[in-house]
Amino acid sequence: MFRWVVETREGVVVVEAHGKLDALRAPDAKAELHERTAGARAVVVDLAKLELIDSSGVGVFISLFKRARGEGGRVVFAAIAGQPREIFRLLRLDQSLDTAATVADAVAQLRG
Amino acid sequence: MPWLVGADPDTADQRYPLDAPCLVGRGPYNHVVLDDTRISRQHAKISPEAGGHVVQDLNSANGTFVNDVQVKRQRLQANDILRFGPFRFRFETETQPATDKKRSRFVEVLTSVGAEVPASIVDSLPVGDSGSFPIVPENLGQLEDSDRKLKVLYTFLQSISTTLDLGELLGRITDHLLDVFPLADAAAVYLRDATGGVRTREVKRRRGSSPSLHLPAQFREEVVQRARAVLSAPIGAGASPVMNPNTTPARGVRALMGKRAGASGNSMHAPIMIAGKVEGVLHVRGGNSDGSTPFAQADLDLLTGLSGLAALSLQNARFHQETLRQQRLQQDLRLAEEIQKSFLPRALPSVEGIEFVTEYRPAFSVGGDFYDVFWLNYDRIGVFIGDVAGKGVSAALLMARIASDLRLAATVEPDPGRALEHVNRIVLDRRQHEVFVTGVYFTLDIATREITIANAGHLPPFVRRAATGDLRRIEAATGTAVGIFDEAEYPSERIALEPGDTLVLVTDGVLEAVNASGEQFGFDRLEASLAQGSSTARELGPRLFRDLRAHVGEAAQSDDITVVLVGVS
Repeated sequence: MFRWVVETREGVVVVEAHGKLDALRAPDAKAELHERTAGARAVVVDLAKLELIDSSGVGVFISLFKRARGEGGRVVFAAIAGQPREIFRLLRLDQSLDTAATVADAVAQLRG
Repeated sequence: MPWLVGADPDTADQRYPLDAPCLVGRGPYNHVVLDDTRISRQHAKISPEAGGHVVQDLNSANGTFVNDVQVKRQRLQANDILRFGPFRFRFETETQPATDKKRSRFVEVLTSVGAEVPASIVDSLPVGDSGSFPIVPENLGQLEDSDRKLKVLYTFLQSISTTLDLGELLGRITDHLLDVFPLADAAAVYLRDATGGVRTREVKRRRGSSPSLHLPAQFREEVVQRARAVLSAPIGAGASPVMNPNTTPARGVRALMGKRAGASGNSMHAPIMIAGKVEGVLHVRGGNSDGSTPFAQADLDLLTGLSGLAALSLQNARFHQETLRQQRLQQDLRLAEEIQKSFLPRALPSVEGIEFVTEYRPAFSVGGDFYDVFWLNYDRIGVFIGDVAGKGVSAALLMARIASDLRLAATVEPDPGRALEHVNRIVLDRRQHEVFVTGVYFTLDIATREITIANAGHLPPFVRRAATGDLRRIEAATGTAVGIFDEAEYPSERIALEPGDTLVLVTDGVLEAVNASGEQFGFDRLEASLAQGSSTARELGPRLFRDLRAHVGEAAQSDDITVVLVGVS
């Protein structure tokens, strides 16, 4: 199972990723993520509840990052841990994407 | 074709075909059901014979009359008036469609209220997978009926079982329904679609003027949910005592089944059952909405039998379609597999003192992994291993394209890092947002045995030192995966290989290959597999694959696996 939980905090769209995001779930997850963050200038992706990710799953986040960047928006990835953290490190995404230790930090980063 | 036509003011709209023996009586199995105590259960029979049609009285209590003369058996002439009890009929020898006046009124009625004419169910019967019709006749009338019915069913089956094309099959089914029920004006097949709804798939009309047919909402529950065949009539038509628009269909039906088996209607719906589930509905509608009710329970029974046969043929047609679809898919996959293989190097460069061992195993027929080994110029060889995000055909197509991009970049940019930056820009320019690629690209100087290597977010390559057999990660010179950042930079690093060293490049499918209990192959097993004694790349490759197979066992391969070994001596 995989699902998004979306809320708006201080004008920032906060997207929580829950469960396992793999090749099977990536197409639907991507469509839903893009729909629910459409037009948002500032997005925080909370990865604390993300249990597992594969390359297709990473593709979902990359697509969000690229879209936001194309529209002049920003995305911060927060609270990444466990297996997803290893994958982000392997792909050297941790060095290039904006990351934060907690959602609060990420929100502050976007508002600051 | 000859017809028996009602000759009293209130029966003028009733027309019965006489192309086959026609039974007249009070019993429900008769073709012409006359519900009156002066009519015997089995009153008379009209049948086609060599010299013309003959009416025969079946020992009725009150007799059969032709032109007011009581007869036992009488050959019929055109326009003879037959009388059974108080009911009078005319024997007509030519097909006389309803008058234009009636027709136009009929169209008016239906178009003004649409096809949702308020109607009530006058009869319904449960339907099993093969339909239900009496096998043991109770009397002569039913015997003839069963005989005729079997002939009809047999002809129907013969016709529809010779096609596996769904469209043609539906056409034949509706054609035959109009043949079997001469008093029907239209026949339709409704089928369940991908969303689970039951929709009109095929409609045949005897004359082109009727409005479209669909499954009326008030029968959906009875026919589709309860899988019951339904005989219905517009409110106010036919045998009015059983028509009560206020009763729910189910209650009305139960009341009716016990009391009035001789009910008639002008519309019949029978469910098409496949594997115990209603997959569609056959609908036959009578020609008039002005009160005539040409169908009796026997007709509904027959339609139910036909729906059983239609179900069998539909199932066959679907299996056939599915098989064709699978075959096409498999052909597509085989083609994709061949195309992808054509992008892999057909022959590896042959160089004195340098061994290349490669292995590529997609999880499906094709995959997103890729490797390439190619001559850059007379003294340098380019080696690439990569993994595009995703699996299957889409990943394979992307990988094939990126393989060409890399070959082009490699000729333009001698430095591997610069070549990857070039590919990165090409991939980003395509604006396929979810696409990214990890890969390692290095060039090998065959004279100096020195490599220049750059890594785009891929698993670090390993060097296996011959002296110790242990693996050392090449951690440096790593940038982000290709296709994410415009400004991505890929530093290159030079590494000198010693005689006996082997470069080991794998995709994550190797380290992440899991066994039945979910345990990954991992770095330690990779190192252990490659560590045993002094070996050449040619010996290491097969050994690694043997160990990988042993680890995975019966578990299904979930990711593409690619290995490139380069040994120098």
